[in-house]
Amino acid sequence: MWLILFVLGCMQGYNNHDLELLTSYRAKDMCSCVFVQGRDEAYCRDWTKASPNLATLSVDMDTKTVHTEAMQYWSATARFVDAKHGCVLE
Amino acid sequence: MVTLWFSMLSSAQADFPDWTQYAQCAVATAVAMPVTYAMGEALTGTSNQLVSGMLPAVLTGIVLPASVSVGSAALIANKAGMEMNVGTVFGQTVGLNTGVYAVGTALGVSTDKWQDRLIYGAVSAVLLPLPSMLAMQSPNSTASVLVSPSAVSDGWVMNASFQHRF
Repeated sequence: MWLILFVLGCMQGYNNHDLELLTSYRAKDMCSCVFVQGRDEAYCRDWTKASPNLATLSVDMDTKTVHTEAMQYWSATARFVDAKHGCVLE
Repeated sequence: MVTLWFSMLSSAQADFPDWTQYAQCAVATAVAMPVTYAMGEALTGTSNQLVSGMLPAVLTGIVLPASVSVGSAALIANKAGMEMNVGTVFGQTVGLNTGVYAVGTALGVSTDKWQDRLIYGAVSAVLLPLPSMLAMQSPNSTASVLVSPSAVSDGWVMNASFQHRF
């Protein structure tokens, strides 16, 4: 019985697509790394790298946002709000 | 009897069709790009697995513009009475577009930015018709002149005939 439920659970999978997770995770973590922790961009790029490394990112220091893209059709943007709330996904 | 053959056009083949045909094909490809973006974005949620979820959108992004480009070129070639190996050209165009897509992805092109859509669409429209245009050619045609001098009682008579095979 448990095995059947486990198999059915695995077949159902997650609601989010892997590339949605990848781009959102990297945008949020990169934003937190740069604008909350105050680390330099090169360090954060290396620290937030996920496998498979399909996401490319751009950091806008003026608007304090991080934009990530993967395979042209998946993207996410994280924005630094303030010290209390940190970074949020748009 | 002496026979002289002058081969005037051994194989009349156009290297590149005129720019109007290229422009028509480029416009058709450019028009297909927004449709490609819309279809690709609509197909992003087909599966939550990495590969099976990625393939429909990515394949649409590669195959659809190539199909429109080659299809429009085939129509243009047919209308102009030119020949084109559609199968070979389609393979070349898909290969070219795979390269264009890979470079765009590596450069961080994203369909949610209108500037990226514009630039990527323009680059695709310029590049994708090239294999079709280079493959278009006129059917082999030959033209020749047959000159046959023959001796008659008071001298020579030159018989000439012209032959043109389209």
